[in-house]
Amino acid sequence: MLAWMFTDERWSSVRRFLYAGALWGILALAYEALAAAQRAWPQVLADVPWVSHGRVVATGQDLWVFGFLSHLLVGAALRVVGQGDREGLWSEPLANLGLWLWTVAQVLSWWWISTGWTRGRPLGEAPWPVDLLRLTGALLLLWVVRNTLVRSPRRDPALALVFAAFTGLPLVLVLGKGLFWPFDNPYHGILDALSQAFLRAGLVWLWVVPLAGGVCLYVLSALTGRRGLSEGLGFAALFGLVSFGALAGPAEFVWGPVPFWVQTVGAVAQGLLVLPVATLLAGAARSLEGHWQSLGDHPGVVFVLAGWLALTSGVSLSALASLVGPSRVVHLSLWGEGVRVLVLGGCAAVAVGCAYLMTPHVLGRSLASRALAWRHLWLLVVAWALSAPALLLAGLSQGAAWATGTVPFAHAVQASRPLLAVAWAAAFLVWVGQAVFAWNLFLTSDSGEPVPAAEQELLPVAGS
Amino acid sequence: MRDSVGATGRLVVAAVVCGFVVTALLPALDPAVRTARAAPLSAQAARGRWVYVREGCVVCHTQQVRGVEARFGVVRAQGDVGEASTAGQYAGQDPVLLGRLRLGPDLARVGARTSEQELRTALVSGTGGMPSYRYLSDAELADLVAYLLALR
Repeated sequence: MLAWMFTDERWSSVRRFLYAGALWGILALAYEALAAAQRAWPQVLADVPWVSHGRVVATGQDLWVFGFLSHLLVGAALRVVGQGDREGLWSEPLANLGLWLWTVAQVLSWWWISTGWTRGRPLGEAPWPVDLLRLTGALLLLWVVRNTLVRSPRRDPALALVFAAFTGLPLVLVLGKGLFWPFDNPYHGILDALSQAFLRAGLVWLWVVPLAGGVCLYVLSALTGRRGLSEGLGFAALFGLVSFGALAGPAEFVWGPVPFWVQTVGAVAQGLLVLPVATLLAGAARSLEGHWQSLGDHPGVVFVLAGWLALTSGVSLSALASLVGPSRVVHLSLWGEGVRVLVLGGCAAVAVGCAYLMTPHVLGRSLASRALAWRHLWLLVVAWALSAPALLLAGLSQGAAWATGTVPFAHAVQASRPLLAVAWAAAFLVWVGQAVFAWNLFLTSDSGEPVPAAEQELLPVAGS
Repeated sequence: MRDSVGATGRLVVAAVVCGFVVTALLPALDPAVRTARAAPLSAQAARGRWVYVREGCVVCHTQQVRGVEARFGVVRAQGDVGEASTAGQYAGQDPVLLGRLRLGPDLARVGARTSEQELRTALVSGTGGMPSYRYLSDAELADLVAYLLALR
């Protein structure tokens, strides 16, 4: 049993992270769909404590970020890191240990938040045993990635982005959740609110986005043989992402009860985040120059591009909402949920796209069904087209109603119910798409056509 | 890649630590935060606060009246949201429950505009788009209502 769990078989940890991400994704998106249903129809399952709305949202967010996105992106990241010198990972058993620690943490987190044991800090709800397991797993993975990368002879900004993400996560957990004092919360009062905001911004801009950016730049350039970003521009994007991302947290509190200068720092950093995200999008697009006509052969590439477009739109809208004028209207409204759909949904699409592109390089088999992958893409596109406008519009209408000073609060919320029903339909489509993705992965590992060993390499771009 | 791994690691550590110090520690020096004082909760209200945390009420309710809405904010009558919230009002709170989304009304001063009976009815029956919380025990319900009435 232990030999199987901690096997040193090449890419075993990568495969397991990808499978785990696909399965946690089904659960995370089921919670997302249930939460969307409860927003539209508040009495859905209201009498069952462990799926009451407050607990469903908290559990779902934890599953989204730590279960679905983290596992899928780490799987893809370990694959590209291990390709650097073509020798695989520095230590498969340690990477597998990281996977099992995170799996135990995710199961405990799911159970405890559902049953009401929570620290009550949005996206930081998990109690301390979960934090310690996650932190230990993150440090192990950082060690594996670091020791693998130092063997590689090439300087590659895509791999540096991946390394930045693995370095950023433990820091964000230690500082943002106060894990230097794990058994209690070291922050109180408004400083607790600010550290919570740092944690949320850090998980997105210092963990998920650099990981997605690094993996997608590497995979696209390896597939097309063309590097999208020069070394200087790549490192500039990395610098922008981590610097502005670490400062963007207080953008949540524009007009709120925190010192004005902190609000200003947060809003400016949030606005500047558009630059590195757009740079990475441009890099992905440049990698594909001369290969646009072959997009039809690779649904994964379209997933990646659609994801970066959604992410860029999300960060632009977020920057707009942190300006003093627009924030008067849309702040604290459903607008924020619309932005979240674009930012985290965009990262998820990048992760899923990379997983599709990597099946021959991880599972040693061709994707079982491209038709299913295209259907998954269309489900996602339709879902985005429904949910993002519906939530943004609901946010605008709520904010406009509040700003009139004459419409009672309950009426403004009631008016947005039809749009919330549309958002629920979209969430359901995304869940169906995720089930299709997991089924396609299962089919591939079970009956996909074997790929010759030479084609399983994910070759880095020559001369880089 | 050895040299760029080292440089990237140092850059990330520096950026993250600086970001945290600027946005989450330096504000402690701000006079509004440094001189903060808040009224302590009764034992029953403190228990009710944990019911509020456990049930995830913060998902739909904020506890912050923004300066821009203090005068015209409307729950039932214009301006009934009260004065703008200040940093000092949250002193000592763990966790702080500012909230990020309003699907229900702001609760920063709900105790000043709502009676005990209204709160009980809303929690048990569910009103205005809020789910019912019938599964709370009588003691939990009493604690939660005491906490909400203490928000003034």
